[in-house]
Amino acid sequence: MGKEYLGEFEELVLTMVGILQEEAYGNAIVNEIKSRLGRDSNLSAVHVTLYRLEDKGLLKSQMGGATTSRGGRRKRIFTVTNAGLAMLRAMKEARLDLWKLVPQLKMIVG
Amino acid sequence: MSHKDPPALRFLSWFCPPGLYEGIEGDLLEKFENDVKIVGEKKAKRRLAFNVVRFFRPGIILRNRFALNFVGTIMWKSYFKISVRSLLKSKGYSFINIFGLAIGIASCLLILNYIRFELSFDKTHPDVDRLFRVNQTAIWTPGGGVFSSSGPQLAFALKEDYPEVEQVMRINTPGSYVVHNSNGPGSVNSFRENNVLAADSNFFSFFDFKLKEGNPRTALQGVNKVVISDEVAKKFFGDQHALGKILQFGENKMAVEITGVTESQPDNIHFHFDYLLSIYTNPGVKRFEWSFTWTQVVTYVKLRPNADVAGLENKIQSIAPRRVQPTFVRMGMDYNDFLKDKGGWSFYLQPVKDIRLHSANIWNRFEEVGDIAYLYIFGGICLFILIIASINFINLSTARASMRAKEVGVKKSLGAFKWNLIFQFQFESIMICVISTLLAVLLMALLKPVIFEVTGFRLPYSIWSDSEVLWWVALLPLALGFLAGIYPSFYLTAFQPVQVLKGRLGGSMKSGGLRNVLVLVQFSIAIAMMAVTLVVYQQIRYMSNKNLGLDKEHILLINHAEELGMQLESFRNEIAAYNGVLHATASGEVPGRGSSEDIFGAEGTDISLPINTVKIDRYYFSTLGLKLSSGREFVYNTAADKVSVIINENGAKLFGWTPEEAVGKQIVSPGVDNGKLEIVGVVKDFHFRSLHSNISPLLFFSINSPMWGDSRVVAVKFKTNDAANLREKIEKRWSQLVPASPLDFSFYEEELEKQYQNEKRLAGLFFIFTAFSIGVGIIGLIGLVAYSADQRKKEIGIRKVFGASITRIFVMMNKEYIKLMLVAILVATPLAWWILQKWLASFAYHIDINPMVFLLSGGIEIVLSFLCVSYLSIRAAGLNPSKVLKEE
Repeated sequence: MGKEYLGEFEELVLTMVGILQEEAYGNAIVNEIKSRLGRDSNLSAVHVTLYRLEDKGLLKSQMGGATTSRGGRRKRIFTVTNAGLAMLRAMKEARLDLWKLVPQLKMIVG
Repeated sequence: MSHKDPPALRFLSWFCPPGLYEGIEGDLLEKFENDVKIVGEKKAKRRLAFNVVRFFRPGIILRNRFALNFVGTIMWKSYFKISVRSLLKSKGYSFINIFGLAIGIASCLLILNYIRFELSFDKTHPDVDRLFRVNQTAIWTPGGGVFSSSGPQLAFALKEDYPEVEQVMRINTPGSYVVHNSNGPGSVNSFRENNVLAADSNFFSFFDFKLKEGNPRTALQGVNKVVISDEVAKKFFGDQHALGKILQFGENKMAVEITGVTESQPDNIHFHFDYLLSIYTNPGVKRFEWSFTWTQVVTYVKLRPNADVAGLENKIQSIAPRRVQPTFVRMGMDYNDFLKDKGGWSFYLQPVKDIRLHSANIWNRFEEVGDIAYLYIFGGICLFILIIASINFINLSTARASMRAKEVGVKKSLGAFKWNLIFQFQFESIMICVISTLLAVLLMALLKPVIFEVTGFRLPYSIWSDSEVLWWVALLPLALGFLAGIYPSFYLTAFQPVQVLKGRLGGSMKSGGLRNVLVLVQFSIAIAMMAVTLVVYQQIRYMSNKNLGLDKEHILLINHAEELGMQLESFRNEIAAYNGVLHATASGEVPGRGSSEDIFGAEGTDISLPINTVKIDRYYFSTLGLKLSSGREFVYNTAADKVSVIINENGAKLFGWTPEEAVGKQIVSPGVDNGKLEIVGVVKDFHFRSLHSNISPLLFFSINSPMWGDSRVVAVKFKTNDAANLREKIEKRWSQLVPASPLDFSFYEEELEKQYQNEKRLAGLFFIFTAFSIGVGIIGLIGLVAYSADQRKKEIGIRKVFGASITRIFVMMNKEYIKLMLVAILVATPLAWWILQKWLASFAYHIDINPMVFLLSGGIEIVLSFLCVSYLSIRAAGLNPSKVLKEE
């Protein structure tokens, strides 16, 4: 895993999957990003990112139950794998470690 | 929402991988439903379409394949690693495989190169699809046939009467000239030039010769103009410009202006020239412009686009009755009589593109043409050698299968799919082929000079000169590796892991049958090729050694002796008196060079025959060792000899006379107005043409007879080891008599040998490729025997413990292959016999195939393989059983 890195958007999507749990599917993630961060994201970009994360083994997916809305199409529900959790944790820690090394900068006002 | 399946979603279903489709479509629909609530259906639809389009991106489209590739790159690495390991593990076998294939591929590339060159002829001329050469009945050959020269009038007939013809162009073949260039007072360079042509002024719009200097459109307009080749320009003028300079042609030093210099002329055009005169520079063309029988020009036509070629060919047949026949009246000859036995006077349109390869039976005045038959022959050889090399590969891979069986078993039990394994073996096979090809490219570079040495055949291309050849070099190993790898990879991957891992495979692995068949194929091909080579060589030796009925040894020929003019006779007398000279004779031609032909009828019969004629002096018979069977030779300088002839036995027989009866008979020639000719002698038959053809009738005229033909040659029969000296003396005398033109001499025997140059070239190439095919076959055999010796070590040990002798074991090791070779002789014999029959049939005089040839070829093959293999079997038989059996 050492060589794998996550891009910013990948990390965001991965985190969102962790947040949404049972309801983590493409549209939900787009809406979640919009509501939490106020950031517009593209459905197709989110999908591609999800699949890429799946390739990397950080997510896994399965089809959810039948639905009445969305033309009866099932949802592809994503869940974070152990490797994904480990990756999120490692990234968070690495970032914190780095943050600690930054000299206590003060905002220079004026 | 009612489900109406908007076009956007249909588009999605087209590009989206099925596995992802439902999830994506659902998300899109969900968003659409939301959008409908917020922004209305119309806008929502637009958004949906836009969103679908945004899914059209590599991350989605390439999804499935991307996943496969991802796994693939890892597997490629593994395939590569395992292939390299298995190659290195058994270096000996790998070497045999690679080296054998390399030889095969090298021969194949050489042959493909040759074929490609032959096919590339005359493809670059402007409008080449509309260019045709007009051939006609070979009116000067006894049995008819086709030849490519025609009379100057034909071009006019075509142009005037047939609207399909856009342009006509004639190339005149005037023969040789002595060309002088005076560079300053008193200093003249003279060369005898044989490659002189003359052409109509539109020559350069027909053929793709580029001019370095001069204007192609105007270069050949007017008389006394010449376009020269760049070599000639270099020879006369070095690096100076040649344009506008003056050269002198012939004895009367006709001044001709250089109006063009060609760039170096491409090899792949069916003729080349050193000098190309404007056509009327040769006064003969104007003089005989009305004629159809002055066959000194080659006529080409360019048809209009979309002209009906077959229809036109039909229509031009009427030229013969409409225009040719009247010219016979003018000549006072009988048209029908002239054409008897020649099957009428026909014209043929031959595409210029086809001239190189489809003119084997068309007599022509330009240089030698190729023959499509050789392309097939060498294409076949190429295929054979590749087959032999691939068989090696297949046999070694399957024979050594047990080495890989465990690998296959382990991989299978670890979950490898069968196609993974097949891929592994295909990869290995292609890799071997790639390495072989690289080696083959090297070999080819080494072989090229060898082939040139043996056959005089210069292979046209180097590999790097041509992108197409590079493509072959790249694609051949892929194709070959794939094809040769198919069987082994399926064979090797068929093992049941359980069986293999239990170690139970030795007995169950019986591919021996097929392997034997393949070895049999190899041997049969090799033996057949060897038999063919042997017979070709025998035939060549037969032709060189056959008694032609004349002497050809130690005869020096002085060509163009007509330039001596009136001094010819004194020159001959002088030479005949030299030390070391036995005889000397002046004549129109020497046998073997071809001669002119006319129709002769016997008085009192209605038999008339086309007969070759030669003018000779009274020393001819003694110099060439010809014998009379009745009558007398010419007596020089009597008026009577002007109307005397000597006929050969064959001619006499065709007139229905015995040699004795023939003497005193009168014959007449309708075309010759010297009245009756009396036969004064009959000469014993001798071969005055190559052994491809039968002896035909021949008439000798006295050298002072008014018969057609001005050329003279002096033949000098000399004592051995005097040649160099003699030549010097003659050369000196010649330069005193004819200072303007250099002496042109040759040795008769060498010249006669040249008649069989084609066959020699063929034999040389056959020899090389036969050696290759045998070599490759034996390399493979060594591999097989080495392997089986290794496999049977224990068996041999046990046999020896139980008392088998070394000889017995030796026999046991070799028995199988010897048996196979014996069968191979049986297979090869009919194949080779059939091919050879066809080839030999092209000679009027040929050897009979001796069945011993096949036994001999088989024998050679057996002995060769035996020599190479016996070391291995002796070593196997000589091993100490205690050592072999100990190791477990």
